Amino acid sequence: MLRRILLLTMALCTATSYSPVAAEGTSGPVLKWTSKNEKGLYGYVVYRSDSASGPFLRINSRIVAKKLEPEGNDKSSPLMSYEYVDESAERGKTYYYYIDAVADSGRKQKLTDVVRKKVPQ
Amino acid sequence: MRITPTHALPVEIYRGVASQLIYDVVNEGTDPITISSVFPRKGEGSGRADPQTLAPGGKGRIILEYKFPEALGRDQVNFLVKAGAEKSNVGVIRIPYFVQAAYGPEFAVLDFGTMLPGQKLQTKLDFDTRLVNELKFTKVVSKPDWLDISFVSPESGSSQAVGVVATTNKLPEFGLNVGEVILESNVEEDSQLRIPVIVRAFSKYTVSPIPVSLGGVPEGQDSKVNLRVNRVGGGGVRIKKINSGSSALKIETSDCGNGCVDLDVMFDSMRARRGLRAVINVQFEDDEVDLQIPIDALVVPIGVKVTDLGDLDEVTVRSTTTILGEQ
Repeated sequence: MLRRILLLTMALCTATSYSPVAAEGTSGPVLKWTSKNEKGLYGYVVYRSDSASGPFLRINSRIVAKKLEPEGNDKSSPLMSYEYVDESAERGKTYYYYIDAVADSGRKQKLTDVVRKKVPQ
Repeated sequence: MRITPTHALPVEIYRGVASQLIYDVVNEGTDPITISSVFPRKGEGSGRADPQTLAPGGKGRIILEYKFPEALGRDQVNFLVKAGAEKSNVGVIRIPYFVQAAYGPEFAVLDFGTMLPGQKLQTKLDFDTRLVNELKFTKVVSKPDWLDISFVSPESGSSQAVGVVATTNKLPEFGLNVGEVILESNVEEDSQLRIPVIVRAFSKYTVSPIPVSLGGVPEGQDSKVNLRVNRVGGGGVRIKKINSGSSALKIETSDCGNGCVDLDVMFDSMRARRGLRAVINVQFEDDEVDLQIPIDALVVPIGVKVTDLGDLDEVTVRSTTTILGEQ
């Protein structure tokens, strides 16, 4: 079974640092990210390209919805974890990904840098 | 009567798209029901039940047609489902939805700024998409008659972006001109890009800002705004008369240098409890063209908490305008 994970750790709407991490139990490259300060956020859109310079195409037909914050965290902004599995990725190919945050207002804002991932054969 | 969606919620659609939504319906009662009408509480839409009459335990479908609003973002529409003549037999289908944009920037305007007689202006803004590898605009569906549209390569050089260039071909009517450019594209999800376009055409005198919005004003409070009137080329500003048609507005003038007069506008919310929507008209001794300045305010009743959501204008991307010369 193919397994790849990208771990993206970021604050909302800021540049991100990340490190690829291997994991078991998935069917394709997995984009993982954490986010906080999600007030006014609707969700996330994931883009993919065969080239670092694009063109990038949106790959999630439905927006990755923002999770509800746990109760009792009115004052602190908890870190929320997300993942997206790119099930349409082909073995042996190299892809480039980035993520936009989508506000309740409909406005999108780039959330992450472009990350490169080679999918094993 | 139990009604459940056959699709994911919230409904995610692109701007301006009409959608058909299907719901399963089950008659959980002991008597037959006849669904007599289905309609949205706001906006353009319709609905029907198939079949219209359900026996106890019977299953059917409710088919909704709805033209979702142009406004981007999260909202909700409720459909009322009436079964029979009994008032109690009214169900509600709550449909949360999210309107998304196929193009970026999501909030954009072709803004020519100020235009004076004899000027030819050009303004440009790049639009992009992540829904096709190569964005193409195939047709200008509609535009104001005072401008022409052309397309150029974007600054980014990306195949997913196109530069939209608007050029004036004549002077529009004096005052604030707001219109819309509609372009046909090769993006299937939302094949029409709608771009607001704005120009402030003046004669001998200009004013800034225009239009004017005072936002939410708590009832009983005053609000002030300063407008600057300039005479093109300098010289004395010869105001003949200022009139707004509203007793809630008090306007005083003060000199601000060569060819410059400030209008200090004070709004008394107690005199306009239902809000303000007026036009300040400034007449001049030496110009037949008046300045007409739209101004509005929302008066918020005492006790209602006012939440400042920020200025939508701050997220609007405006085009870059250059003066091409005389025309």
